Parts: sequence; C-alpha cells; structure tokens
Amino acid sequence: MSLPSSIADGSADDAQLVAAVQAGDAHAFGPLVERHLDAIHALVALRLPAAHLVDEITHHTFVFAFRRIAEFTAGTSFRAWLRAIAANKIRAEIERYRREEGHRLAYAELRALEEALGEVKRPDSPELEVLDDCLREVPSHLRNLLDLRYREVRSSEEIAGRLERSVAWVRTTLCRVRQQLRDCIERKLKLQAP
Amino acid sequence: MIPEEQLSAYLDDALDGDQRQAVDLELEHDPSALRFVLEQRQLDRVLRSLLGAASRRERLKESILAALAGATAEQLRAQVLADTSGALRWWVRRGTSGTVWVGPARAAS
Repeated sequence: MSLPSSIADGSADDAQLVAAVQAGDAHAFGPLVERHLDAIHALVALRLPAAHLVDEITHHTFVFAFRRIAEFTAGTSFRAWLRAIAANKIRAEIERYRREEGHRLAYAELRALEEALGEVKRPDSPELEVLDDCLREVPSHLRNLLDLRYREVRSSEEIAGRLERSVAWVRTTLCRVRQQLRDCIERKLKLQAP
Repeated sequence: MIPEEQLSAYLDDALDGDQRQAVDLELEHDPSALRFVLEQRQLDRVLRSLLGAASRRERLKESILAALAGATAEQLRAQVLADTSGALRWWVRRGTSGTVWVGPARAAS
C-alpha cells in the first residue's frame, strides 16, 4: 500500500499521522517515533534515576502509545500524550525497582527513587528546555570533553589518554562541568520565573 | 566532608567495594554531598540522552518499529474499532545482563 504523499515526504503533521495510524496505517507511526523519540528519551532520562532502564522505558512508551492510539483525543498534543504515558511508565518502574531492588540499593539510590516519585507527575521539564542554551555556553575545550564522554561514550581512561591528562583530572573536570551546567540551568530558570 | 577526587571516582563507578561503601555511609550524614551526587547523576543521564542521541536513535527506533511490526493492519484496525487492551501482551524477559524485548505475542488465554 502506498503512503499518502504528505506522510511519504515528511510534511504531515502529528494530527495527520495519528489519524493515519488510527485508520490502520501502521507505517505512519514511524515518523511519529522519529519526531518525538529524542524528547521522550530525554524526559525519561531526567525523571528515572536508573540509567540502564531509560532506553527500555522509552521503548515501552512508544509501543504502549501505538497500541492505545485509538484513545488519543484528536485536537490535543500528541507530545503531551506521550509524556503522560512516559510518566506513568516511569512511576510504575520506580515502584517496581524500589520493591524488587530496594534492599540492595545504597542510601543515595533510594533517596533518588523517592525524589523521582515526587517529580514524575510534573507536566513540564523546563530544565531540558534551557539545557541546550547552557551547553552552547560551555567553552570549546570542555565541550570536547563532554563530547568524548557522551557522544563517543569514552571511558575516563580513554579520555585521559586522548587528552594527555590524568584520569583524576578527567573525572573531577567532568563533575565540575556538570555542576556548571546545573548552575546555569538554575540561573536561567530563575530569570524565566514570573 | 568527602574529597572531590573521591566523590568524582564514586560517580564514575571507579571505587572498589570497601571504598564505595565508605562513601555511601558518608552520604547518609552529608546532605549537601548527597544533593551533589543526585544532581550529578541526573545530569549525567540527561547528557547521555541528549549528546548520545545520534548513536542511539536508529537502534531504539528500530527496536520500537520491530515490536510494532508484529501487529498487522487488521489487528490495528480491530484495536481502533473496539478496545481490545489485553489481547496483545508485550513480554519482557529480565535476565542478569539486562532486559530483552521480546514481542509482541498473543497473551495466553
């Protein structure tokens, strides 16, 4: 079956794509995944204090959305609907994780789960909206460090070798850059506050 | 107060069991260090997500679309016309090395 031209050429908006999926065209879900995957993944990463589960919960969010696409209300935001599904998945995962792994977790991990439960229903994530701006303000030599760690997924030892620095320097500098980013996020959010 | 170098090694999972346990114990009594650790880990996850998007996107997209491919157009249409939640189950098999997505499969009746 050939796709409608607006879907094939990528010009269809969310409402058109959802309508096509609701009419039985499963292929129309692909562009929706493409369009919203990064934002939902970042939201899950922000709210779920278990890094190894971020991909999985993101995966389940989209699969759930596909299966329940009939329940999506036309005229509302598809992104907001995905976020609500993700929030429910995150909360369920935190509760399961705490129940099954709680006795093995360190104090800091348990506290992270408790805090995350309190935050999971927040409808917005302003931190993510300002983080891009803060990343643009990172000096180039430190941006290179972030890219080696997060874009190329290099270990501290590999980065130390590449930059001819000590491993301790890599670790402490990464901590300081993350702290500067945190400070930048808070500063920008304060400026936005009414 | 936990030295910066020790805390950064802790966050990098570079401490041995005893050293890690010592930091864990100190965190129970040091709220500012605990706050630092929680915020560092959160930002670490978000930076992995944002900056690592290119390498992850295709793999994750493929895993989602592969999971959806099991549902035919007829099944999808049936779901739209009448809510059949529970007719399909998405099985998650948990193992020691992580989670494998296996599905969709018909739920056992």
